[in-house]
Amino acid sequence: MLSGLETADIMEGVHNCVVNCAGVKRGENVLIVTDTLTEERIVQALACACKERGADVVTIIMKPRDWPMQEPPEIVAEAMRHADVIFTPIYYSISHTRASIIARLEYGARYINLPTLSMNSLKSEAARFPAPVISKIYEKVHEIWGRAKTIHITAENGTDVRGKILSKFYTGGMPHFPMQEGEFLAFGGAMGIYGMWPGGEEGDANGEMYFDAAHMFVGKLEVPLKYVIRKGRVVEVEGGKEAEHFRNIVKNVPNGDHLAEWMIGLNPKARIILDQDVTHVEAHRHAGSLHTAIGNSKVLGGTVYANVHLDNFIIAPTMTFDGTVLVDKGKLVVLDHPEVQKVASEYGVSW
Amino acid sequence: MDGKQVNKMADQRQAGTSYQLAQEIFVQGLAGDPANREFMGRHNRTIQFEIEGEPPFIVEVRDGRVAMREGVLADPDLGVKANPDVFRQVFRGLMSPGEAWMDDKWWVGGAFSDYVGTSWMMRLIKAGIRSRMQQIW
Repeated sequence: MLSGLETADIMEGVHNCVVNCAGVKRGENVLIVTDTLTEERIVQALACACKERGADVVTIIMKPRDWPMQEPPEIVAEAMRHADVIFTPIYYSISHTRASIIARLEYGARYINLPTLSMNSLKSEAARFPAPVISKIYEKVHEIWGRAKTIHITAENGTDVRGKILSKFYTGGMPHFPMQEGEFLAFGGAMGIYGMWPGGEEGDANGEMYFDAAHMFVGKLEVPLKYVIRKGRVVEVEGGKEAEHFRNIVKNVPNGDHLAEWMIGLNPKARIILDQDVTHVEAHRHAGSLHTAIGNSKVLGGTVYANVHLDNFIIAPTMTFDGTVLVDKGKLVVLDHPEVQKVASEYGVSW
Repeated sequence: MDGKQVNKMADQRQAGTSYQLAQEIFVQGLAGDPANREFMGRHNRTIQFEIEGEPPFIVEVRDGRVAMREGVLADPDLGVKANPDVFRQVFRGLMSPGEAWMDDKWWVGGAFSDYVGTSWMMRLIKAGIRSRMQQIW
């Protein structure tokens, strides 16, 4: 029975993910780890795209995890160690688990995380956006952020926070395209991020941040969530009904108060969609938006482990680096750079 | 020098220094086995080792060759910080380098995005141990 041709509409996005980003090649062992809450057509499309490249594809379907970053069953963890490429279209992400990190770092697997991915996201312009253009935007951001010593973030919502950038070890965040061994990519219907670990006590982040959306809550917050930050730790949480949830984490989870990342989106076509899922992954990739995590920073250049990692979101920050404005009220200024425009033109995209 | 320090030095003499063990794995094991040449030659990186209580040293893998020396680099590509016990367990193949990192037993890393280098280094260590074991046995 013909039940619609929607799968055809996502294939360009899937091709971008499988071929341009993951670089799946003939003869490679591909493992798709999914769960029973995931859209079957996405899994099938990923498998088809990998098979079309000549890869050997194995798909494992597991019970959905009970919470984000819960370890997968050992049989999955073992399979991950034998894969050249791992795709995880999944409800609760397992990207920062011991299983995935060992598979990447000790066994060299390339890991593409696709959490709470929707057909809608995979059909979008952001999902089709050319990887080389993202790479050029990344390069231009790195020229400013990666060489700076100080960061200052403000926003009209009241955010005003400053910190130090300790070394090159703590800035970055994107793989090569196509990906190389051991690399990680979150493809939430879009790709493109750059960020830093704020450096804990030594990084000396101080100030206040007000968030427009919060991890594990659907939609824009009616009352912005406020963090008061001292020396890289959240010391106070205020806001609406969501505040108690974050206050509990900050107070009760070991290192739950640790400021784990400041990260911006690079993708000019990623949409600020906040009302469709609890992770807002596509919005995080919107060029010039900012997400900030508390908790685990170990896979993000940092040194602090926590059994939690929650990202909150600011739509339109202004961010300066040693006095140079990189993001101006949510506009990523390097998008206008002639080199970025040239590459965009070569790939037939504009914004 | 107190008794504990004397005992520690005696233990270190018996076990060899971390530098010596790294030399055994990287130079004799890794570089001494032709099977590793392609893998070693994939990347060029400098690795700074800082082992507690011992002089810092540098491992440089360039164009498929390994060079080691004591010292400190201003701008290494990758870094390892560990206490001697953990270092020895990892470099004798008794502890997984990734598990040790996950459990905060040692620090291993590079630039935020340099997962390629970090992964390559962990696999270099494992390949060196494997080759050294084959040479011995």
